[in-house]
Amino acid sequence: MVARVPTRRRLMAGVFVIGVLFLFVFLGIRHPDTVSVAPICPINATTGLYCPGCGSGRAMHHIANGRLEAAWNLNPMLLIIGLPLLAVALFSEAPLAASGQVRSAPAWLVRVALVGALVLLAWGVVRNLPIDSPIPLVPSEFAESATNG
Amino acid sequence: MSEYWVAREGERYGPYTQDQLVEYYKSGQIQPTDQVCRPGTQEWVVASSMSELSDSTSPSPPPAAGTSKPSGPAVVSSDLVGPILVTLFCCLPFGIISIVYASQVPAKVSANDIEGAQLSANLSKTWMTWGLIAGVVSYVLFLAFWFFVGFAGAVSNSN
Repeated sequence: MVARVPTRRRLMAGVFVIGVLFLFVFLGIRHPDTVSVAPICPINATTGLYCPGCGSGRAMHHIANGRLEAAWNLNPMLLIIGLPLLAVALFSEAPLAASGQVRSAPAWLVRVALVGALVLLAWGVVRNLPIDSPIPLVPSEFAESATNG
Repeated sequence: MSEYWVAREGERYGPYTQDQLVEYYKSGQIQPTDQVCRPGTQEWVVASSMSELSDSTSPSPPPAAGTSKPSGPAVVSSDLVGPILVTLFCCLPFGIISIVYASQVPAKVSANDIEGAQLSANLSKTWMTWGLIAGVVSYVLFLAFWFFVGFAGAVSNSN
């Protein structure tokens, strides 16, 4: 009934959603370490530091296979911030952008996203510090066997 | 019930009722050169040629009329898909800057500062785009480097 205009935003939103879902399925099937062309983190490979996202690929593999604890040990912030933000983008913001409606994201949501992004930035620093922490800082595959067993 | 859609530079806006359409046209938010699609049709016509708008017309130049812009859905769009994507996958600092600019949009829209809101939305988009480009370029460079090193390693091993 309503004429449809192919918009760039709709295309980009579609590519984004399909891309992320594809990535999720792919990571669910293959553990990143078993893929020879696997994206090796440039930051970790060159500097030895852990970036805020380090461990996410492996963690996504475990999440896709239902092992939340293993994912937590690799990168807890992926569960606390990364995935919720991704879910907002995937299931709320992308469909609305694709609908072509003129809107700006609600102020509270933008604020939440901003706080999340800033915490991620701080996380990138904190996890490289030699300190004791109640949550796992350094990506560790160790817990995988524990949860499997 | 009645849904009008407006298109400008490849972006689609709406749906609007006829009353909203007329209101925005009067206030100058919808330009005479914009394309409009009437309810139930597939056809896009230039706003200035529409009978619905010709009564209300010759949009009194917005700066002159000025004072009271409708605070409804203004023609400023900003969403968080790009900024979040850049934050998580590409370039965290660029994503943060993009989100900061996106956060200015709702406040400016509700203060009827449409121009300022548009500026913030554009800046948000600009930083998002640069974040995307920086992310993709650095990643391609790294992969190329990695393959090269791997290839060199394989050659030296075989020798």
